[in-house]
Order: sequence, then structure tokens, then C-alpha cells
Amino acid sequence: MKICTRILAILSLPLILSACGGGGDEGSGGGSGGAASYTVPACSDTGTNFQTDEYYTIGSNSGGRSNQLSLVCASSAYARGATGDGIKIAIVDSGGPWDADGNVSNNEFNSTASDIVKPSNSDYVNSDSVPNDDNGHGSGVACMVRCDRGDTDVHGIAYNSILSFYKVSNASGTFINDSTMGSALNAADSNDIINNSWGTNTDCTSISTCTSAVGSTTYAAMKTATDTNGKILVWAAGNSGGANPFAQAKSVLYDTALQGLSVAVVAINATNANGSGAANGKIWSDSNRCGDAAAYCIAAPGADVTFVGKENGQTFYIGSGTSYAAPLVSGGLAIIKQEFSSLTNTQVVTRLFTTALDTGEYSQSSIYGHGLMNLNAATAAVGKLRVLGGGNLLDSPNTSYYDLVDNTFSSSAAFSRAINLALNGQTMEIYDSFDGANFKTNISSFFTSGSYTTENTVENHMARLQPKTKEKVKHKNLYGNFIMEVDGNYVQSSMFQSAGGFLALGFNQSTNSFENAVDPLSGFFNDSNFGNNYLVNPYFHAGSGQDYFMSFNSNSSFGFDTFTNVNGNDLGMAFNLNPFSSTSGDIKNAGDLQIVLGTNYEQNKFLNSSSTGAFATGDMSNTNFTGVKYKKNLENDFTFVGSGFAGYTYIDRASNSYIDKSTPLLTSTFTLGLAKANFIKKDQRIGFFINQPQRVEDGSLNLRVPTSSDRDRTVTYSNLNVDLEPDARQINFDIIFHKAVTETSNLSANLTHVKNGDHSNSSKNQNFISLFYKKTF
Amino acid sequence: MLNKFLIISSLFLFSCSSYLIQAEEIIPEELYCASTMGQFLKSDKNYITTENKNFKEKLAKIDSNFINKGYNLIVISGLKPTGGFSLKLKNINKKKDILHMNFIDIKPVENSIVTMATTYPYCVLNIENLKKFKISIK
Repeated sequence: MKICTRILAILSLPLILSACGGGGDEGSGGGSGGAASYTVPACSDTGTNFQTDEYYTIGSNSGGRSNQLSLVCASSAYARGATGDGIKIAIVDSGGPWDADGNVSNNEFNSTASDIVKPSNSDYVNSDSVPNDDNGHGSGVACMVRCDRGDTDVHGIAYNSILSFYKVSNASGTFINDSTMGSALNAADSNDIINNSWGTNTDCTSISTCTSAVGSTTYAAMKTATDTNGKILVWAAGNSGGANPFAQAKSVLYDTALQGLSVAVVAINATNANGSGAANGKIWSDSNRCGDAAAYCIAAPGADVTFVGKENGQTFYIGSGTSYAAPLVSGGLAIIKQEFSSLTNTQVVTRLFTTALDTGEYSQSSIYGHGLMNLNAATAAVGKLRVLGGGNLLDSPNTSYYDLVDNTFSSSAAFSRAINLALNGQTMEIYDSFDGANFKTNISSFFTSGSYTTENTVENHMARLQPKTKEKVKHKNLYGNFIMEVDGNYVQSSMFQSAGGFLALGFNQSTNSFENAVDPLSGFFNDSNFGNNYLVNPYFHAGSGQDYFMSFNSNSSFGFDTFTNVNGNDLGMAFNLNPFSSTSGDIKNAGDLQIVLGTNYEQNKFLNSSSTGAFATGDMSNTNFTGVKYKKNLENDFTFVGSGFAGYTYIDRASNSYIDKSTPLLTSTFTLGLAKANFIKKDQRIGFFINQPQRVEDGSLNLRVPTSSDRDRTVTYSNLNVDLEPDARQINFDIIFHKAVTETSNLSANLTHVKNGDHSNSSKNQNFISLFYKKTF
Repeated sequence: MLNKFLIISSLFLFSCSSYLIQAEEIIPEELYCASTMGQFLKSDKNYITTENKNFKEKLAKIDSNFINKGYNLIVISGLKPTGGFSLKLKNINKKKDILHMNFIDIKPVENSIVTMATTYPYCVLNIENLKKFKISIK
């Protein structure tokens, strides 16, 4: 019957491994709250800044190179900030780094006194509160976890963790009895992880035989630790070279109360033991194998490792044992636990197992269980990183997630500078689809900044001065005028104006009478955005490639403009007083004033800032705006043009969006220009323009982003109020000169100065000087 | 013939008892036995004396406080797979110029809890005039 059970256990092992996700580089695991597929990153030890002499145990007095940290790629975890900081590990052993009077007497544990704890009554050998180490084993085990870093010799794997010592064996290595051991384990439950580098060198094959081998009180305490208190038990697998872990470590195989939170650890060779310091990485000959308990077992360096003796921190030993492999895993668990505050202890253990290196040598699960601990993978994403869709329960069926790429915010240059400053250094949480492990990412990584200046290249600047080459097709009949501008077979723009000017329809062409009237006047510019945006309504966000304009001009006193684009996500209306420009008439020196009142609705965007996913805005953000446009022909061929707009934008909040609340955004734009025809000579024109692109003058929005999560799988959001007013004001200065040299040739010159580009006081001023001469043959 | 045999036999017996009387038990001036986890006590020989150039270094590695205690001999039991092993001095007998040292290897009690680190049980001793003797350890 016993043989039959074992055969069944062996046959079922691959199934167990598969179910736990402990098999391959890719697989499916049991992570809750989402998709379970995952890919395990390789064990790449990439934290070069942390790969010191101490890391390789080749510091002063340390005795020689061991690869106990590099073999498990600990530096990659350190580079992510995971050092076990604040995680409590119990060292149930022969004691810790104190003398009999309770003073720290081992220099390897004196950097942060509060991290080395001697709990009350923790000396179960002498029944006092000073668990001093008479034997040395406890100190060596503790060193593997937390020997101080920064003192140039050797450091532990989780060098910022908190160790509490429970003394259960005396100087000669004799352990306390079962009853007292149970008490010690119960006391150690106040920690997160309990390291046990000890055991009984016997096998067991059932709960009853395991209980008998371990001791009933100790066994009960083990169950209390895992099943009642949810703490992690780490066990050395034993040093007899056997096929299975010894009883304490193997009990997990039979008792569901221990499963999920018990880890058996086998030891591999840290070096070749030939003095070269080269890594070996294969199972240590005397280590017990994972055997039947493979589903609960992992490998870590334990042979030819370096650790400190019980003395003053100047004596380092090279030694071997699963005793040393176990604390490396305890430290590894602390690193995972610190890195991911959203994971339960069970999930921490699952992640440890799932991310183990299990290829090549380590694919032998009967020896290595899940494989070699891999802290690079354990602290990295193994599933898809996702953005939480507004809920606060990671595992709720009602919680939605977005893939990372589906969360964007493309900000208008009117406030991109402000938002960049506000988001600088701000982080939020995103979550691994495998287990909901929480990762930090910069909020700014989802944001792209609009810019007024990035198109100010030399090439574009020259292009501004080039005469238009597109062919204009004009047609006039009884009903009105039709003008179409084509570039090859492609209609770039068109406009129809009804006879009498009542109706104007424009395709990629504003139908506003003022703008069209001043366009010829300003005609220094080609149709680049930089030039045309000086005078158009900034709240009609043209430029989609298929913009539609329509204007009604009832008479010379007022009219309506409307605008929409190809996506239909912009709908603008403006009421114009005195819409007609008198420049089309014959009245010289007449002023021309247009007053604009209007509104623009934007779907899933505001101020032309589009966003998706968790940063989405609602269907109906709107801007109410007003503007003044003024043109006056002065004497001596001078013409003055000016326009100014201001608007209030109300952001429509989408449900569950991280863009939570906002105040109305006050924006402004203005342009002033003075042009003179017949400048010095006939056929010479000069113009001077000052322009401020659209800028937020006042207003803020509140980002409510997930910033922390707890082991009860709840997420906490934090508010980040973002003042959208930039820290400077961009002003463009333009001087343009144009001369018709002959009928077939002309000369253009331009000086442009851009101050505080993109409304940023840290932007370098831009200056362009260009000359353009064109002759048509 | 019988008389001759008795005389020779009595001479032989006298000779043996004279020899037994010469075997003197030595009590070390200092003795301490424990075990260490460090491989530095890995050695082909089962003892190290002050004549070994690494003696002081190894003694200090066991415990730096040992340096001033006058120890002049380290007896090593060899590599043990776990804790719980120890070495115990049974006796030391001086016979002519040889010190016959008898140690007992103590194993952990079956099914007892032990630490899962390799150990090297040892005893450090201070024996007067050790340099004058050859050493035999069992």
C-alpha cells in the first residue's frame, strides 16, 4: 500500500507542477484576479551597481569568492529597490549576535540596531531574553540573510530585512525539547517568514508519521504558523544526500494546512570548490533532494558559501549545508514580499516557485523541485502589466484592467509644460496579470507632450517661405464661387461661397470671413501651421486632415461659424458680430472688428488633448470661448491685425477615470501684427508679428491614481492635483520681408525669435534667420 | 629445565609490568571541545600543533579568544554532515616519547534535531612540553 501511494505521488508530480506553474519558461499559473499565462524572465544578474566585492564575498577577510548571491541574480532585485526592507524574518536557531549581557558583539549586525531584534523571552535554552549565540550556527544562518552591507567584506541577501532571533539550541548544538520548540515557533509567528535551518534526519510518509518524527507540539506550531497565521515556513531539506527532504520539510507534502506557505530548500554548490571561485550550481552531494516534495521545493546556493562566525564579524567561514540555502530563500521571499506589497504570503511563495530557473540542469524536478531561485524574474513582471480600471479590489470579478498600451494622454502644448512638471517623479501602480503583483511606474510614461516648437525645424521654417505650389481650381456661376486646391489628385482644401455670401462651406478651409480676409493680407506665410495659426480660432481644432467648416452670414452684422472634423469628435459653433471684413470693400482705413462668442464640444478629449483607458475623459468636454478680431488699414500702406481669444474649458469626467475632478481651464491666445506694403520700394512688403500660442492661464485637474496596495488585495488611490498653468509664456516674434524681384522671381527673408518655447522657462530661445529666393524658368 | 623456564618466564613478566608502569596518563592543562562550521579545519591530518605554520590562524578562526589561552594542539574529528556531532577526550597516555590520545566521536542521538550545516568537531588542548612528544590519536 505504501509503495502504491508513492507511485501515485510520483505519477501525479508533473500534474502538480503544471498546476502550480512551476514548469517552463512559459506556462499558466494560478494567479488570481486575471489571466494566468506568464513568461519567466531569465536569471540575468544585471544590477551592476550592486555587484561589489561584498556581493561576491571577496571583501576583506572574507576568505574567497562565493557566488551565493550572483547565482540567484540578487543584484537585479536590488536594482529595483528590493532588499527585503522592513520584512521580518525569524531565525529559529542557536541565537544571534549578542554577548551574554545582551550587547551586540558581532560587527556584521550592528549597522541598524532596530533591525536586529531579541524578543522578550526568546532564549528558550536559558529561559531569558538574550538569545546570544554560543554555537555559531545561528550567526552563520543570519549572515546569509542580513550580514551588513557596506563594510567591505560580505553581505546578506536581504540586507535590509529585520531579523528576530529565537534561541533553541545550546553551544553544543543540542536542541530544546518538542514542547519548548513549539513555544518558540509560536512566538516566531510574529514575523513574516520563519527560517528553520534544522531538522530531524528522518523520513516520513504521512501526516501521522511526520507528526511523530517532528514532535506533536512542534508540528502543531508549524500548522498554526501557516494555516492559522498565514506565515511562511522555510525549511532546510537536510544533509544526508537522500532522495527526499527530512520530516519537517517533507510534512508539507501530506498536510494541506502546510501547503502554499511551506518551502523546502535544497543546496547547490556555490563554487567549484577548486579555489577558482567559478560557479558550479549543481546539487551539493550531501544535500537531500526535493524528491516527492518537488512541488514545494526549490534550490539555492548552500555549499561552499561564505558566512560570518559567531564572533566579532571579522571571522568568515566557508561552509556547506542546506542550513545556508534555506536563509537565502528566506531572504529571497523577503525581497519578493517587500517588492510587492499587494501579494499575500501564499502568492509570495507561488511567485518564488513560479519564477525559479527550471531549464537545463534545473529541469530535474526530483532534484531541484521548481528549480534555482531566480530573483531577477521574481521581482519582474511575468504576466502582462496592466492598469487598474478604477476599482480598488484586485481580485473582484467587477474589477477591470487595461493593457498598458491602451492608456494614453496626449496633452496640448497649452499645458504640457505644466503637466510635465507636475508629473515629474510621480509614480502610480500597475499590476501583473499573473498575480496582481504591484509595480511602480512613472505616471508621465503614459503622457505625451504636445509642442508648439518641435515643428520649428530649419526645414519647416524654410517651407514657410516657399510660394504655394498647389494648384487652385476656381469656378464661379450663378450660385456662387467654388475654389478647390489640389495637390496632384488629392484635394487639399475647397470652399464654396454662395452668391451674396450667406453660406460658406469649407473642407480643410476656414469659412470665417475675417480669417479669409486677412489671409491674403498676412500672405507672407505659406500654409504651414506655424503661420496660419496666428489668426484662426484656436478652439476649432483643425488639422485632422478632414475638417469641415460651415458659415452662415445673415447680414453684415452677425453670422455663425460651425466646425467639425472627420471623427465627429469636435463640434464647434461660434456667433460672430460684424463678421464681414471691410477689406473686401473699397473703404480704405476702415477698421474691421469681429467679436466671437462660441462653444466647442470635444468627445473624449479637451483642448485637443486626447486620452484613452484609465486617463479617458468623457463624451462631452466643452469650451466656451470668446474672441476679438480686429484689422485696420492705416495710412502709408500700414495694416494692423490683431486677435485675441479666451475660453473656459470644462472637462467631462469619464467613469472610473484617473482624471477625477477638474476646475475650468481658462485659456488665452493672442496675435498682433503690423504689415506694410510698398516698403521702401514698390513690390516690397514687410510684416512684424507677435503671437502667444494657446496657454492655460488658470485651472487644474485632479489625478486620482493607484499608489499603494495591501496584502488584503485592496488598492489605495492618491490624489495628485495638477496645476495646468505653465511656468512661462511663449511669445513668437516674426519679421518677414518679401520682395518681388521680377515677375518670375521673388525674394523672402524671415527672422523668427521664439521665447519660452512651449510656455517653459527652461526652454532655450529659438532663433531662425532664413532667406529664400525663387526664380521660375 | 622447568627451573630455567620459570626464571625466563618471571623475567618476561617482570619486564612487561615494568613497561606498564612507565605509561603515564597526561592531563591537559587546557581542554575545550566544540565544533565549527568552517571548512578551514578540513585537513588530511587529524591534529594540528604549533609547529604547523597555520596553527595560530586556524586557532583564531575557531575563536580569537583562544590565542591567549596557551593552546598548542587542535584535534580534528573531520567533516560531519550536520550539527550534533562532537569530539570528547577519553584519555592521553604518555609512553616514552609518544602521547597516545584517545578521543571519542559522539554522534547525535538518533532522531534528534540537528542543525543542517556541515561541522568539524574539534578539541583544543594545551599539553605541557608537547613538542617533546610524538602524537598518536585514535
